[in-house]
Amino acid sequence: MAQITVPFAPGGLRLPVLVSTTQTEMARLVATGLPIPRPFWAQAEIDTGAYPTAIALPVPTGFGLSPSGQGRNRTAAGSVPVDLYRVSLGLPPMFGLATTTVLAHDLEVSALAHPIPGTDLLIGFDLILNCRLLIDGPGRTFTLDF
Amino acid sequence: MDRNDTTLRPLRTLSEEDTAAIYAALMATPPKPARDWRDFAPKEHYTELQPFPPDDPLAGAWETYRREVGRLLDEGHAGKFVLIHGSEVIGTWATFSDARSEGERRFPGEPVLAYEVLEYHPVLRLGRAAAWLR
Repeated sequence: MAQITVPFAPGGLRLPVLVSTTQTEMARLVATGLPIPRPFWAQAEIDTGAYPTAIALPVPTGFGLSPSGQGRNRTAAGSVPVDLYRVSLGLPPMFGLATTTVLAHDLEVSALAHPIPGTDLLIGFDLILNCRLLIDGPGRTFTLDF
Repeated sequence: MDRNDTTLRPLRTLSEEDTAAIYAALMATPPKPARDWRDFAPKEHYTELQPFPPDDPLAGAWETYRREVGRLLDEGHAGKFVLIHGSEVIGTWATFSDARSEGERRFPGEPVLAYEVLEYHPVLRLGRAAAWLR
């Protein structure tokens, strides 16, 4: 099990993540001789009130992906349609990791049509359920085992 | 990637070298089973579905879905994906991508709803992002 310990950042539990197409899609592109879209370096924030994990719309559209499904979010104004996409997530070699490390090979995420300033991705409850998350408030760090 | 760079920087694409590293990492490890958010999301019965905002491009198609979902369930379409254009139910397909492709073929550039016919509908939550909905 890999582990990272990350200092608190202004605004919450934030860390950089790498977003790319799914493992299956990458394998398909390589097998057919097509180029792999370059991954994104994105700023993520852990948000246990979000499910599924949510991502800024320019990321999946930047990969040329089509939605994998459609969901609904409920608001005070009623229902709001939300497109779903499939991507993979990784962590860069930092915070104690020696190499690029995969968080999820194939994850369904919702697309954030309206950007959150300073945040490209919300790591939602679906991903946290696969990890152990320890928040050290006095130490101003959080640790993620995955 | 500069491993000493832990600052929070804006969204950007990575280099070819980084792309190769990520590809290698993805291919070197067995797929981790993903947790399906639908397993723990709250669910709404189809009779409780709320309308989309009137200015949403899919508001009309969603009203059609709300009106027709009971009939579609009675006719055995549960789990299939219905394609709706405005007030017209075009048909049902086995997968979302099939329904969506048919919608793009028939109504290029127009809003179409491709939606799974369900008795209980999972509701996703946008967490902190909900504050930025407009």
